[in-house]
Amino acid sequence: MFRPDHIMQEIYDFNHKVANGLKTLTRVGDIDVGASFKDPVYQEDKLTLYRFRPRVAEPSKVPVLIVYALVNRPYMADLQEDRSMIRGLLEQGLDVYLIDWGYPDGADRYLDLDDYLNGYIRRCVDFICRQHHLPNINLLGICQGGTFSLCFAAMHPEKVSNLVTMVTPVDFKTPDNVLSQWVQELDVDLMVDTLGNVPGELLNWSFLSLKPFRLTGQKYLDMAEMLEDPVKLKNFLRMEKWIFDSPDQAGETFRQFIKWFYKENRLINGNLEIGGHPVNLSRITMPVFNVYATEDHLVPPASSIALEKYVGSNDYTTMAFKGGHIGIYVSGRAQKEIPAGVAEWLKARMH
Amino acid sequence: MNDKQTAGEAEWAGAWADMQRHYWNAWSDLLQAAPGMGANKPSGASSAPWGQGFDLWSKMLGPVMPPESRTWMDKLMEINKGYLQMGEALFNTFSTAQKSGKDPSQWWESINLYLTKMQEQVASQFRSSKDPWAGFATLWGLPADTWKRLSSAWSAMPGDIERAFRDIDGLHQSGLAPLASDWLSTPTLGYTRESQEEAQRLGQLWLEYGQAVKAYGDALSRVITRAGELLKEKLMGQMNKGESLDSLRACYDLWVDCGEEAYAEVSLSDPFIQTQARMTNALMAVKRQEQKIVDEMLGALNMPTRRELDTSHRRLHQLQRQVWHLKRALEDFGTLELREEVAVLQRQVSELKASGTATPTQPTSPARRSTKSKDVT
Repeated sequence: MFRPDHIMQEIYDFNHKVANGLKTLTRVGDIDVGASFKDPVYQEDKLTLYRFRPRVAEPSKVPVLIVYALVNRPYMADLQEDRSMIRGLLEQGLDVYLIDWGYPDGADRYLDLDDYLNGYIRRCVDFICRQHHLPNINLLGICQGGTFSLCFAAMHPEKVSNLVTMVTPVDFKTPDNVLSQWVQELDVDLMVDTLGNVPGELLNWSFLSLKPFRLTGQKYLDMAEMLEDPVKLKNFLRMEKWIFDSPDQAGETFRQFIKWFYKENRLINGNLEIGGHPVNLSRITMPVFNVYATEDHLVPPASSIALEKYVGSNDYTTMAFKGGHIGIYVSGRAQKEIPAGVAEWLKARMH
Repeated sequence: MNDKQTAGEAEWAGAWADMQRHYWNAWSDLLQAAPGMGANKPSGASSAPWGQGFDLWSKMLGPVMPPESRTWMDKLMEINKGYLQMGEALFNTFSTAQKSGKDPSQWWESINLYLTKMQEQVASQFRSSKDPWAGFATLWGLPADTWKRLSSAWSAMPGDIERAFRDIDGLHQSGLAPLASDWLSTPTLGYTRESQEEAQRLGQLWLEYGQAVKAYGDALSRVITRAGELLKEKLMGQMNKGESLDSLRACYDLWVDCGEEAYAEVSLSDPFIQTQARMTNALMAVKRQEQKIVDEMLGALNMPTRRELDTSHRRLHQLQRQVWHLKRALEDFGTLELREEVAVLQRQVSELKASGTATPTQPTSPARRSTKSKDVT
């Protein structure tokens, strides 16, 4: 059993670190994010389509379009030089595009899933196809963006040559899906009718409430421990910036997503229709690569793995990453495993 | 008290004072770097307990810190203060136990006492305060804070609405809520009856929201109670195996593990899910009613209302969607036309080839340019 004098010493060390660390905090400067060079190539409303500058002389002929979630910002995939999935993909020789959805405001509250999927995503895909004189491209969807990519591929299979999904919810009603259980009793109509757009802060509250002791207490003690190390501190602050950089959600899209996906599980029940297009996962016949995180508390593995049962593809591969929903982009192991895994799988299907 | 114990205590007291001195020295160094701050060191600071020390730091740094950083600093301090309070309490607990000798059961009794006290403290703060989040400040700081801001933000009414309505929430604690509800149900009369009715409805919704927040707080206090039980179980388990915690941080981490375990048990239960949803739905109902009242006021002042803006946005969106559809139809039409033209040409070429009367194909534009350039050279 530890002794009182040990406790005192520990408190002293802790205080000392915090006191000295404040100097580091005052010098840490702006929290920069986004490690790779990119150019805006197409813009529409709040959306910007970026093309990343290749890092090899001859990048692959068929580009990859990354579709990120509407929740949080896509720079998580390109956080900093040594923690960037996108940089890894570029180094593997891929030609990478990314949709940045921007920050919806009150005037965007009536945008719905049809506008996002059959509108914005479709126009981005068409733009890239025209630029490269291709009939179809590779799609890489992340989290909710993965669900969007699945829906898009099911509605427009002729436009997708290969589909990669990462930490993507498919079965929204697995027993371990806490978020799903929480929203079942939620009056989403009242929420959207009242708030219009759903504030990012409300989503943050939900996410923090998933693991409140860790995410609101322990994490900041960890930070205090690293205050004296400017590099570690900056890494922490980048993550912190990303976590709380939460765009509001276009009201109608949020309403449809919660009702159709979380409450009614239409994606796997086969009764989903978006903008008059039936969304039938069996129409996904192109090769599919499904990456999930084994310790994901936001999208439980079972929710992602379910995809295999429903897609029509004969070429279906899964990759299990030992880590969490965020670790899959920023952990050291992810930098080695994820871009290489995705690129290897894609290259084998692009010849 | 024997001589050995007295000597040990004196040693600790000396170490404590020494550490306080180091602790303030570190901060003094920092403060001296800030111009004009040297004189602000609080008198008697060296006798301040550890947890309170953070408050003093925050006050000392306040004048030289921009407001946006101060908020951030306060957040950091609040969380760290909880940790230091735990250290302080454990220090006292172990010091007391040390006095009683090294019998493991004595250690355990002291720890048990501390945990029970902590649980009671949270529960009593929760019971006695008008603030429904009291008692969770350091254990549940951020989600509670976020929720408080949520309930005030996007409010049609100015200021911290959550705080402003605490008196109404307090009615639940005093048992007067049913009476207030009865008053808010009385018929309204006269020229302003409509607006009275809307105001009464808002009051009713606030009462309902207050009840919902209280129920949610009750659910969270069950998490704390359960976490305390788990911590006792785990510490007892460690003691039985002859293991022990080797640091304050390990103790804190164990507490966090227990908290998450307790929370996972509670947060997936039907009652918790219903309670949490009830609180969110009740807040939305309050906000909806607020909007309605404010819209009425704005309308009376001939100002644009939320309803009008929503209508404009909806119409704008419908128009934008029509433009998108028309544009796509035009593109599709153009593409179709071209496809048909190509198909006709391909058919003609095939027919010509089949009839064997094909004449040499006219060169395409680039080839013509190429020929021309040859002629020039």
